[in-house]
Amino acid sequence: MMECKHFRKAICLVCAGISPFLGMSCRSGAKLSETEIVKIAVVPLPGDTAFLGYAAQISVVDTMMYLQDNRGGETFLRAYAYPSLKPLCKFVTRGKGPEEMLAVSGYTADKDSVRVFAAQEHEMAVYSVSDLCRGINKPVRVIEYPQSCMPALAFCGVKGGFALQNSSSAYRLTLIDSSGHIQAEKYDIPVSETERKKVQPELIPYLWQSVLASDGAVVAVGTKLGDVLEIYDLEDSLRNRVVRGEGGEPAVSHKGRGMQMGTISGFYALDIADGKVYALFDGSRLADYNGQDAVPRKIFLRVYDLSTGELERIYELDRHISSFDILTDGKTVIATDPNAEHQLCTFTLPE
Amino acid sequence: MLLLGAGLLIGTGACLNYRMTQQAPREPISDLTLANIEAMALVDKDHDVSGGVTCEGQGHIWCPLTNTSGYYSVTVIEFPSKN
Repeated sequence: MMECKHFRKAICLVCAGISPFLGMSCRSGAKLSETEIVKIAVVPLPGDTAFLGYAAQISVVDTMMYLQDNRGGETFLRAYAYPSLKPLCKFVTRGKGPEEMLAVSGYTADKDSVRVFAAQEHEMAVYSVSDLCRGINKPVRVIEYPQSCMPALAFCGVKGGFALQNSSSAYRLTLIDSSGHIQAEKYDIPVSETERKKVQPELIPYLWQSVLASDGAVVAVGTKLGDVLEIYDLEDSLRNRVVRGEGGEPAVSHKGRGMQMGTISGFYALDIADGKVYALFDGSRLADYNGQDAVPRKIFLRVYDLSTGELERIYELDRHISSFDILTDGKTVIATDPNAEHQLCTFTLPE
Repeated sequence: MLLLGAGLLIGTGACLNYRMTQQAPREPISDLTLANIEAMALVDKDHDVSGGVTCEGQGHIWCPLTNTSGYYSVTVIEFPSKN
């Protein structure tokens, strides 16, 4: 045990020593066992979520709320009025036709528009908020991007453009502008050599598939199949952080005639607010999966310092939510629970 | 002598073939390979199975073959090397 500690220390010392050259620092396991866990009660909201499959991303912007549904239904997104939760419009039709998408990598919304990036069609559809309020679900513009942008697994807005996690790229992030161009591809996937040797190169981006959040200048990346949180400062790579938690990096394990991608269920959603990264983390073992739909398990909201990557607080939620958004008051959280009858829910962050 | 020689040749060939198989680098999965692999016998309404990849359950994981999200578990069937 002591040797292990010394080894981890030595590894971190080496990382610290070479970080100025790599433009990245390494942080050893997030000390979960030393961080007090505070329990939070999640309260259902009465909004209409009938026929909703699996809510993947929720966000509230002013008087609008958007919900992304990755399974079931003919459309991927729903718009609601907030706080009334009155349904306004379903948009982004699932399909192969014009203005339709086979899958959605994510969306970003502001006061005027909602931008949706297709996972397979390497294009971004722009919807007008005023149209959505009137029930008009046609995009005002569809912007085509280079084919190398697909398949896109995650999408978020950044200062001056957008960021993708692109599974055909060997880099962690692909930065794109709003007029159909790739601006840059940045950062190596921080996979260890041990794991790299176990998996075909084409599958590494899938093993490291992630959720993204950005405050404009910084992009937080949380692995869905592991316990690694990456913080990338787009303007100053010396401030980049890779936080490896006790759950370890995304890894494969043998399962029957093949290999299971990932050994744990990792991050579900991220949000950045007030200099903190709020990260929804599961941590349950995938080996316990019994072939049925995921049963309710524990889920935690971790709070990291955005600049240092230090894990500061952990909240345990009494419902296994799948996505969340922290409102501008910094305390109220709107979330989704795909296992509940009323999938919309809310809770308040303690002072 | 002829039989002995033939036996030796076959034995050496088998040994070499075995060693080459063992040393062959892992072949990357191309789209074509994925597309050409026959669907496994696991197909049912709750499983998306094709090309040696199974994606099942309800969750937040992307399926590498279909590039759709909303699965809980992804298993990649290991392919025998062509060499």
